[in-house]
Amino acid sequence: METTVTYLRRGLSAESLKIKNSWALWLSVLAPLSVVGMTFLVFFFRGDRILKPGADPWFHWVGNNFMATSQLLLPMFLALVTALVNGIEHNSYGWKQLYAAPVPKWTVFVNKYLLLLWLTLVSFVTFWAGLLAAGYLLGFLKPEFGFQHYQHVAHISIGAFRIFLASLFILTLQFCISFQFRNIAVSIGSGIMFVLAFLIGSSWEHIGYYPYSWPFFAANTSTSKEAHLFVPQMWYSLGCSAALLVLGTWYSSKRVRQ
Amino acid sequence: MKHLIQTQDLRYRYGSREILTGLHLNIPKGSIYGFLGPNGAGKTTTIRLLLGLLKPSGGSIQLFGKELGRNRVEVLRQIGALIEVPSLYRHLSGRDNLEVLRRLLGVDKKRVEIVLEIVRLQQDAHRPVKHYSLGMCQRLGIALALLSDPELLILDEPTNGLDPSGIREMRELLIDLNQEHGKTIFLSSHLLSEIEKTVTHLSILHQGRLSFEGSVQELRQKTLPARVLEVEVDNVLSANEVLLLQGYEVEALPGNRLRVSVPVKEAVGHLNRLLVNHGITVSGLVYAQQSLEEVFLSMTQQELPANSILTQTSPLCLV
Repeated sequence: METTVTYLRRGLSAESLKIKNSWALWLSVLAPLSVVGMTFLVFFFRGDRILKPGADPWFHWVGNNFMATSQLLLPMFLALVTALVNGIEHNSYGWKQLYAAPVPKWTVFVNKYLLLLWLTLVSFVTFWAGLLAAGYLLGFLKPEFGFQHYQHVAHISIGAFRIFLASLFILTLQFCISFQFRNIAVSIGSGIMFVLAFLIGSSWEHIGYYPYSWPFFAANTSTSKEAHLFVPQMWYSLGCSAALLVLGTWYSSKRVRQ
Repeated sequence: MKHLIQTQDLRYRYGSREILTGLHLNIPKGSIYGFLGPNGAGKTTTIRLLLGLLKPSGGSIQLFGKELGRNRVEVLRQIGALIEVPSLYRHLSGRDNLEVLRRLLGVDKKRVEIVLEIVRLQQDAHRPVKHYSLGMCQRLGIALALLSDPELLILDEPTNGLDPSGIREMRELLIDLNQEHGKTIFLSSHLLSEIEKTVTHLSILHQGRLSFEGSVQELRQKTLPARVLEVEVDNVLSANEVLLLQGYEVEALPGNRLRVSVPVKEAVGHLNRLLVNHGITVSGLVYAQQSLEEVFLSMTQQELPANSILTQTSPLCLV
């Protein structure tokens, strides 16, 4: 007799094979590396103008990477990767086969979500590892910047963890949009629109309640030296994400797939 | 269990449109059951209902003697399905496509090679599906349906888009699956000619309900014209004149042949003697058979509503 865990384990195993040779897998690794790589080049060639002599260079290095990622690149990445993963199913007319399989209907939605959660986690781990490796490489190649004199592994790890939690709701929302709409332009277009809305309204006093600002608030916390582990936006993200996931799972199991 | 699929008064409504208006289906175990109907008759809707992809507006569906709604996962374990276009991941190889479903269903790894052999795709299993022909895609779709070794296969238009040799290959494969592997097969088609050599039973769906259910032989017997002869003669013109003078209904056919309606069987001898006595050589005399395709068309042609006939005839009356 199959249990829920068996259905999820099998489903996740099947889903992970679907992204073999696909852009979704490459994007999860290359997107964070490209952010770190670009910042590395800027620091390598222009570090002497950015960094103050004798100051901790990691502060600027992490701040530059975290801010660019949390405000713009992370939401865009989530919109793109969810569209690509669900697009594989839309393009292969695979939904009907999945819903006609002898598995509970709700597992189709949850398995796909778990795969995207895993891909996002891979992306964050790559980003974290790249950030540290590139920082130490700068310390080796440009000893005058002073990267080699400081250790911030714990601080950077907590910072990445904060951004990850704060971005969960964006992941869930973009996942639901791309699950529902076959047209890839809808999910990517909505992602761009939501990010632009944040950039335009970033000086608004209530912007902290807007989901696409939550990774920015989480990243901003990491730039201050004395901060709590959790910021309110991380709780908002966790709570809203869980609620939307339950709603999406219920809706997907009732929905008719034409 | 005599019937693997049974539906009672199955109904489905899409918006204000009635797609199925009371469908009674009985698919015997061990049969190859052809489900025929013109495009838009409701075949795919019926298949989606049988697989639990749609919820019926009324009636009941029993699969393997169990109510589908309450035992969905349990009954689907015994069913393999191909719904319209096969669901294939084109960036993956044929073998990987099977592996995806194998992992989802938790089936033994050996089954992948077994089904590849059944559908004769071992040689091409490593190639990406985007390089497959349509026939190969259809065969891979059937391999996916066979993966869990189900007792019942539900195939929606499996010959759709195939060339004559592909249709023949598919026919051989289905007969092999039925006779050698003991599968009961329920397949839909809009072309009788494609499946009449394959099926043991068939039904014809027209305007949301069945207009026929039985064997191919029963369909043929049910609709054969009473007495129509095809007569082959040396002089068509003379024969035509002689028969018309005697009051027969005659229609000229290509190749020195005439189609003649006779009121009773005994009239055939009289007709033969009549032609011979007028010096006409009769080289062939057979009962004509209405093709199954004609039968199918006669059962599924749209009947014009009374008011549309009036609008067609009125201008003619004025002229």
